Parts: sequence; C-alpha cells; structure tokens
Amino acid sequence: MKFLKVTLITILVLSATAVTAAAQHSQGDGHDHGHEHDMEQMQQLDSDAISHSESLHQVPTTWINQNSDTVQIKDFAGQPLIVVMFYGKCTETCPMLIQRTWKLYSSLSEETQGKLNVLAVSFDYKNDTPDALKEYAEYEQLDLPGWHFVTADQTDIRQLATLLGVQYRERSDGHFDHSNLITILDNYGNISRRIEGIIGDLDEDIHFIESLTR
Amino acid sequence: MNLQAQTQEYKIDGMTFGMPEAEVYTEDYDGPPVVGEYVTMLPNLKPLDYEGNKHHEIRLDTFTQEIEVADGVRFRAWTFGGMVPGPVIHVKEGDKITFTMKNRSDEMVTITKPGLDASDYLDQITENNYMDAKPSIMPMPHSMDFHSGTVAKDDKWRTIAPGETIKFDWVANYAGTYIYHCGTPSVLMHTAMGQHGVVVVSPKDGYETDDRVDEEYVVVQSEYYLKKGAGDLYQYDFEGAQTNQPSHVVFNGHQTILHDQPLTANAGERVRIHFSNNGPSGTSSFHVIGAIFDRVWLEGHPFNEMRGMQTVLLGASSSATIDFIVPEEGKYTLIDHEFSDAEKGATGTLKAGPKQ
Amino acid sequence: MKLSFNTYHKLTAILGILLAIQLPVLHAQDHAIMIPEGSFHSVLPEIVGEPHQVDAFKLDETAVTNREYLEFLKENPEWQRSSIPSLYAGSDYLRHWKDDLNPENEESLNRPVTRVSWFAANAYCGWQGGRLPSLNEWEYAAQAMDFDSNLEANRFSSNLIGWYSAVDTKVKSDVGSTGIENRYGVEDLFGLIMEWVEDFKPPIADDISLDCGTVGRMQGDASVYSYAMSIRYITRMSFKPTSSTGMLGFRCAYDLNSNKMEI
Repeated sequence: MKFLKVTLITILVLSATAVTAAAQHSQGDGHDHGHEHDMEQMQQLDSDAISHSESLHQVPTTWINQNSDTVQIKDFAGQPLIVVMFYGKCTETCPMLIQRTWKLYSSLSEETQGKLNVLAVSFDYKNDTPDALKEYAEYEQLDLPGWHFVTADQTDIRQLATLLGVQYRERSDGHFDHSNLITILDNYGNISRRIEGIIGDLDEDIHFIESLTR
Repeated sequence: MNLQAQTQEYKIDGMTFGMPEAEVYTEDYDGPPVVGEYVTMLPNLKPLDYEGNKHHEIRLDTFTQEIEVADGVRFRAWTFGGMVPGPVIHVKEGDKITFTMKNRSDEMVTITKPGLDASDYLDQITENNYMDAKPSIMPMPHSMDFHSGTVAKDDKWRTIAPGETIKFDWVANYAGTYIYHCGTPSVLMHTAMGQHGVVVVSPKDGYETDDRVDEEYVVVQSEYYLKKGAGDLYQYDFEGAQTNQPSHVVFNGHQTILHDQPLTANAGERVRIHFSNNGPSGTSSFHVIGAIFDRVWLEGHPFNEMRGMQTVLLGASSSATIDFIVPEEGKYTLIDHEFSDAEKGATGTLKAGPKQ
Repeated sequence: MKLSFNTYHKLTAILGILLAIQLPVLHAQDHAIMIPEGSFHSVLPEIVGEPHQVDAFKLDETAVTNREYLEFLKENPEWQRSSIPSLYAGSDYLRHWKDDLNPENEESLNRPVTRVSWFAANAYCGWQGGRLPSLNEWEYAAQAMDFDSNLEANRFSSNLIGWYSAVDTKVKSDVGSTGIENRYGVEDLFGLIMEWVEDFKPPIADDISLDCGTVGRMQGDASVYSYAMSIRYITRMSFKPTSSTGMLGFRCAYDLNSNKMEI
C-alpha cells in the first residue's frame, strides 16, 4: 500500500514539476541559473559591464526554432547575428524582406557565413508553430544550418520587437502591419547596424558584416 | 530618423544653414535649469557686451511649476525655466547657439535657490519671485521650437519624453524678436499652459537710434485659459481655448505685474520696447497711452522701419521693436487696445520721472 | 520498499510548493474581466471613418498595484531596481521606492505601481500568463462607458482634459478610488494613471511625426472625447520603452484562450 502511495506521489510530483517547468519556459522565465556560466564565454566583458550595456545577450528568452530546438541570443556570443522579424502568412513585404536577408547572407564570403547565424522571428505566435516554421523554411529554401526560424511567447516577441525598434500590429483579418528591418548584432550582442526597408543597395552592409568577423 | 547627409554647414547671403542632427539622450542632470550668459527675467534685457559674433551655450529645462498669474489665481503651469513667459534670451544676428533642454516634468525643480550662478535669470527670480513659483510635477512629453532658428522641425523641434534631454545647434540668421514655444501637440494646450518665451536677436549693425536709447525693455503679451479646479488651484479650460475665450490676457505672464512693478524712465528719454504677442491665439493692438511710437521695426528687423505709429497690430507670434519718446513726467499705460483683452489684464504702467 | 515518515512529508511538501507556484497565474485570472468583442472609433483609424473591430479578451479589473508588483520582484530579482539592466529601464525605475523590495510605505501597497518601464510591464504580464493590452484593446475598453446624455459625456471628457493638464501627483490614490468604471466594471481607466499598452507606438507613428497638425488629423468626430483621446495617443507615442514617470503604470490583458505554448 505504501509503495503505491509513494509511486502516486512521485508521479504527481514529477508531472507537477514538468507542468511548472513548461509554464515557466513559456512565460519566458527570466531567472537563468546558467547565466554565470555563459558569462565566462565572453572573456572581454565582465558581468558588471554587461548589465550596464545595451547587449541583447541579456535577453533571457528561449526561442524555439523550426527543428524544435531551443535557442537563446546569448548562444551566439562571440559572433555577429542577423535578426529579422516576419510572419509566415505574409504575402506583401515579408517575402521581399526574407529574400533581402538571404541576399545579404549569400553575398558574404563562405568563411563569414560560417561564422554567423540568422534569427528570423515570427510575429504570428498563434500560427507559426515550429512545424509551420519548418514548412516555411523549406518552402523558401532557407532551411539551412545557421538559419533559425523561431517562435516564443507573445510577450517575448513583443519585447524583442521593442528592443529592435520594429513596430507591428495585428489587424482584424489576422495579418500584421509591421515595419521592415534587418538588424545586425555584433559579437557582444549590441545593435550595431539597422537596415530599414526592403529596397536599396546592400554593399555597405555587406562590407560592415565582413568587418565584424575579422 | 532617416536624415540625408545634408547636415554639412553652408552659407547663403552670408547666413549659415545646415546644422548637425539633434542629439537625444538620457542624463541624470539635476543642476541649474537655466544656463546662459545673456538670459534674463522679463522685462530685463542684458546688453550684449562683445564685438562680432559669439557661440552661446544655453540651457532651458522644461518642467512644471505652480505659479500665480493674477490675484488669487494660481495654477500648475508647464514652463521653460519655471516662469511664464520663459526667460528672455539675448543674442546677436549671426551668433551660433548650442541649446540643451531636459524634460524635467517628472521632477521637482526649484528655481529660487540662491547662488546657482548659472544665469542672471535665476538670480533675478530669487530676488523677485513675483509669481511665487513653487515646484510641481506633471509628466508630459515636450519639445522646443525657436522661431529664431532655421532648421528641420522633425529633427530639432522633436518631442522628448520625461527624463530625456535634447541638444542641438542653431544660428540666429535674422535680426528680430522671436517667440519660442513648445511644439508638441496639442500646441494650443502646451502654449496656453505656459510654454513660451522670446529670443531677442539684435541686428549686427544695430538700429539707427541705438546711441539715443535710454531704457530698453522686453514685454510679452499672452493669454491664459483657466477655470477654477476642484481645490484652490485653477486648471486648463479646454472649451475656452477651443473657442478663443481667454480668462486672462496679460503682459509678462501676470495680470498686474507691470502695475505692481512699473517700467521706469524720465521725461525726454527714448524708451525701447521689444514687444511680442505670444498668443497662443489672440491678436494685439499695442498702444502706449500718452505716447506715439517714433520708430517701429516690424518683427524687430531694421529694414522694416515704420514711423509715427499710434498702434501696432500684431498677430499671434508677431513682434515689433518700438522706440518712443517719453514727453512728460507722469504715468503712461501700455495697453492692448482691443478692450476685451485690456479688461482681462492686457495693460501695464510706465512711470516717468522729471526731465533730467 | 519502505519510506520513512519524513520523506513522505517532504514529498507532499514539494508537491504543495509546486502547486503554489501555479497560483499567481490563477490569481490573475480571477481579477480579470471579460470584455466582449465589439468596435470603437479610434483617432488613428486603419480605414478612415470606419470603427476598429476588437476581439473579446480579458482585462485586469484594476491597474497593477505596488503589492502585486512586489510579488513579481520577489520571484524575479533580475527586475529589481538594483539589478535591472539599462537595456530595460532608465535610472528613474522605481525611484520612489525605499529600496529594491520596499515600496514607499504601507499605504502605497494598494496604489498603482508607477515608474516602471514598458519592458518591466511587459515582463510582469508575461509572468502572469498574459500580456499588455494592445492599444486598440485598451482604447476600446476605455470608450465602453455609459453616460446618461451627450452633455454628461462632454463634461466628462472636458474634465479629462483638465486632468491631463494637471493631475496632482502629490495626491496618491488607491486603485478603485476614482469611482470611474467602464460598462463591464473595469476601474480607473481614467483619473488615476496613464497606462502602458503593447504597441504604444503603432506603425503609423513614424509618418505622423507628432506635429501641430497631428491633433487636427485626429479629430475624427470633432468631439471633446476625440480631443482627450488624441492627447492620450500623443503622450503615449512620445515615450520610449525604457521611459518611466510617476504617472505611468499598467494593467494586463489575457487572451480568452491561453497563450501558453505547448512544448
């Protein structure tokens, strides 16, 4: 009898833990015990300087990508990161914005491509699930190593957009009005270049990114 | 902000254009809210004691102050520098000004601290706090628009949130007396709440009568739209503002100040008044009872000289530099001859002593 | 296998604690009010002349109080005043609190929390299993007021403008104290504080560039209410996400369906 009780309790405890962990993840729980360990990776900045800095490595959000892997911006410490915001159902400007991101990426040398990642964040947390993002990435032929099409909680997505300076609003028809922006984070996670709009020459931006990886 | 690279300085007709982009930043500044060598409290104007042009560093912070505008009438005004109208800035045609403003509307700012030593303005208020100004808080976005500056308004006159600071350059390309005011919508509300003042830009070659002027003053006309609030204080009367029905029309921000503290001169002297109608909405038919204006330079530009005027009609944000001779010992009344304005307070006194 | 009495209790205790952690989420939903779907007239309409449609959602009955925000800070110390990164807040963040976990005083516990940046408000609402209300949701809820007559409505709006010109921040009031309720029982959308919304700077803000013409542009139906509304829009649009003032707080909204992700 006692064995049964113990088993039941253990099962309850374990499932409660799992539910809580899931809830905390989806709420974008900020308290990351791994924080200290990751700081050691960034030898040139001490933790004090980081908390006074504008580095997006401080953003604790756990993003889920098209392969259902978890990703945090600080995982890319020590490398530049290209960030772009879009949504899957978009037929107006997002296709051009994503292609522009590809143009930027593919114009870099192979060596540089290997040294950076692309984080494409969807506004549409309801529809752009990891599976939908996988379909999207494959359709765009951008399901490549280093390319992360991601989703997270509504408040996490809004927080990132606010940090980057991207405005977006869900319309009554389920589509989004949004500004178009490609952001380059440097090795320290600071916003170091903003490429607005969907037209225009990218030469200077390409040179800039190359210079970051030298 | 998508500014093209047109921020290279260039000259046309000897005037300088093309100022760098404004800087907006956050800074924990809690020093004197008004800084500048030639910045004074109305009706005073500090003489320019330098040859050629000068580069001025001027700060006017914007913040809330509870002030008296008429007997028994106090309200929580939005101000530049703590008074309404704000401080008088004096520069010369061709001077460059680096201007800094912090939006301190969420801070208690005291303007009557002795020994702040940053501008004559603060010393003058400490000695003569005629609005009985007291610190107050009302966090709002604000901006600055200098009519005397020629710049892109979406850059330099941009709105900043409480706690932010803006810094930019402008060049006084034209002589005259120019309003400055807050450009954040609703501009009617922000101006009516007190955010306005004047810059006097003296012409580089002066006016013809300069060596004969004995007294020089600055007088600003403006309206208040106030109604009684829940407590002792008055508050903004939105309907009055919308329908152009001010509760008070005043000179130098207070209904009776130019009677309580009259301008002074002596018989036979030439008095110069830089007069501005800051509005926000009214017109002024400015006259001095007992005198005729010997010279009137419209908008204060030496080229726009009129002679022998009894009354000068000025629209909102218009000004004139006026010379008149004080004929006899006695009293003269400055007045907006539109009597519905005069009876709401648009009058003042010049007291003349005997001929020296 | 025999387990000792102590271990049995420990396991129960752990289970209890884990369940208790779930409570903030449950608590928040209790005090949120269902706002049914509908439409409202915005001063920044998507289509000129057309009202905005808003789906049903839940909105906090009152603004978030100091007491509630304190709980958030206890569980999320990285949001405390001395630890918060400059990325998320300026130096005015909670400057009126005595220290990290000490609001002004006992009396302030039921007052709306103020001097919190947008990032802090956003994080709090995420922690509660919700989010900030969108601009449209907030304005829709605010516009859902019942007045006995047009005259009364105008008088209300006129007083609102007076309030926007000179709220006395020395008079501090508890949530619920204004006595102003919308049709569904949401309290103090006016008269207490300005509130953060999710998208306080909508895409159109860049085009408007906040100039003198902005107020004119926003006078859709030329009513006193539009005028008051436009002051609110303009003030919100001038903030930065790290801004905080003594008159700016927030409340949270929740989707009718949970927004939690399935992992």
